[in-house]
Amino acid sequence: MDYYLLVKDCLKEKPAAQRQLYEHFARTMLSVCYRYTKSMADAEDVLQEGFVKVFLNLHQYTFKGELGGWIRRIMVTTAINYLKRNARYQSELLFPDDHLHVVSNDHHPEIKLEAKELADLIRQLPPGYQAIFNLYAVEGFNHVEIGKILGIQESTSRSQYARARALLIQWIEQKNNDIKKAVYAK
Amino acid sequence: MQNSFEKQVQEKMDELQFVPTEPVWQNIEKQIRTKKDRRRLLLWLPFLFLFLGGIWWLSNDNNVTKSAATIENKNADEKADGPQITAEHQTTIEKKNATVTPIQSSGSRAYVKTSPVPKEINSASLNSVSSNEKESIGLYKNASIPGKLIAKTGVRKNKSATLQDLNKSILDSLTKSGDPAPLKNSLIPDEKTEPKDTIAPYKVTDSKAVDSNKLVVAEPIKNEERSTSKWQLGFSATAGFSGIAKSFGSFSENNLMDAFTGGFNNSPSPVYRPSSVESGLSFSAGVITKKKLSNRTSFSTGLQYNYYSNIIAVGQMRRQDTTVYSNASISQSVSRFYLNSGTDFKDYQNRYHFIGIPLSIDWQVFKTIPLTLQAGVAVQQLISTNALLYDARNNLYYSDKDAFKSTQLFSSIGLSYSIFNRSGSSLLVGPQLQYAISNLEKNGSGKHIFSLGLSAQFLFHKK
Repeated sequence: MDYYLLVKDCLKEKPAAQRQLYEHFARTMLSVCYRYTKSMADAEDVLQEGFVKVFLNLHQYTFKGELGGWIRRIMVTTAINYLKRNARYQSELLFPDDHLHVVSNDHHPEIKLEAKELADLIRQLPPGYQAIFNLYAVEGFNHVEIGKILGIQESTSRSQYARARALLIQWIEQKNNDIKKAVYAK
Repeated sequence: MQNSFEKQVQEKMDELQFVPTEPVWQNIEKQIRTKKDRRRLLLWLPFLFLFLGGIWWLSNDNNVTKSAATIENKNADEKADGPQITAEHQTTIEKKNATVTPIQSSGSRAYVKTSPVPKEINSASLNSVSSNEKESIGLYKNASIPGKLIAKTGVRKNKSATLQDLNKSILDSLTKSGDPAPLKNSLIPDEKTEPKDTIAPYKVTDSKAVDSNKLVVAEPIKNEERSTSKWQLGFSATAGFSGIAKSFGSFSENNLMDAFTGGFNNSPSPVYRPSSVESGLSFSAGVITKKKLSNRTSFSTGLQYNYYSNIIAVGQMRRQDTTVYSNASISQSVSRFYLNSGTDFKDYQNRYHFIGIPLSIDWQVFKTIPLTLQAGVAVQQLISTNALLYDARNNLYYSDKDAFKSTQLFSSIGLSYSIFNRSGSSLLVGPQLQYAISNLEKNGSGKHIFSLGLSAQFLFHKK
């Protein structure tokens, strides 16, 4: 797909081009929104808000990076802002400033889960862990950047991530065992 | 930074896809249209104000001309028992050395009123006066006594004298002297003895347009009208803060948007992010001139120096020849740049110096409260700047004045309250918001300067 022409047509406010851009990225972006929220309805709200921002700020995209990456960033920012202003999610963003020693644990299981199962596990993480895990493990932000985005200290982000990671590994191992048992049972 | 666990999670998450429901797109489409329309309206609002102000001014101007003509026609139909004329002083009729006051012959905007008078005056005196002199003759209508006309003279003794009394005294003097000069002198105001504070000057229309049988009486020109024809001079100054807006209405938006152009892809590679932009000091100073268009509307323009600034955090400065990229295809060489990495970050103030011509329409919101809404535009020329540009590819800041648009169009809106208004001067103070309609940078980065501050205007009234 020629993104250059597509973007130019969108900037000319051609409805067909706008629809095409949406159709091309909507599925992937909805999965991004899904990981940050607790329900599909909220994920669609974020998607909607994010795409409105995309179309209104498309003139700022200068073709320096991938269009998908640019849109994804907008979705992530929109999702974080959505969590910040939505009362239901405000507890998700409470981060106690406890700086416990983080034990690095290189041991981790192989993830045999389906993508959706893993996403659902991430969404089950306790308040505060979910956003940090997504930002670090999936989006690739470092803890300094996460600190700036969420308005927390770098050390807080680091310790919260370590706990989220440990918890998720534990759950994945349990799931893997369940899968094994099911296979043996068959 | 990340080990295989994170990589596995990323890979799994990249596989994840959901199909959104149809109403999502419908809502997106609806919101885009609404928001774009709203943005366009906001951008055009100052122009709309100027345009509507202009139309209103022109229509007001036409109404004045029409009303003057209506009055003229209406009074021409009146019968001879018209308004009483009060001679302020009859003794001046005998004055031989009365000076003739030159009276402005007006154009279309004269307030003219014709009143029928007894034929004695016409036949005995007016016809003997040359047409030029007729133009110069006039009676003053006292605004405080409706329907009464006052012969403007230096000393007021007999305010209750009627037109008939005036006629009689004029005829008496004519009989005695046999010379129409006293009549002329009686009807022409004596400038030396005129009490200027009670009697207003007036205009007389072209004599050809007036019935020769009728005395031409002009209404005094209202003080408002006199003031509208003058330009007031003064000084203006503004102080506040300024910053960079990414797009209209997003002044406080998180500067994460800057990072979107930084070459991000879905991989967990390092992502360069430019510094957030903090607000800095802004001020302006200059001279303005203001012309009153009507009771509640005025137009102002002038010449102003404008200073805007904002603050970013930059790393160490390096003196080293390097190639920087203003966009994907254009590169240039610089010998000095600031890093956007490391730990030694310091505040750097981007400064912009402009000189500009503001154009504004001021509208007094309430009749009795001196609160004015100001809307306008300003064309500003960038004189100099030390502002830095971000090179996302090399993650550094560099300076290049040529990368900025030298001519910027600003829109402004504000409120001002007249905190004092004396005979000689007035001072207006209030908040003002300025927003650059033009992009700050030539590469269309969507950055716009905005400023919010307190504005003051000190105006001198001409006497």
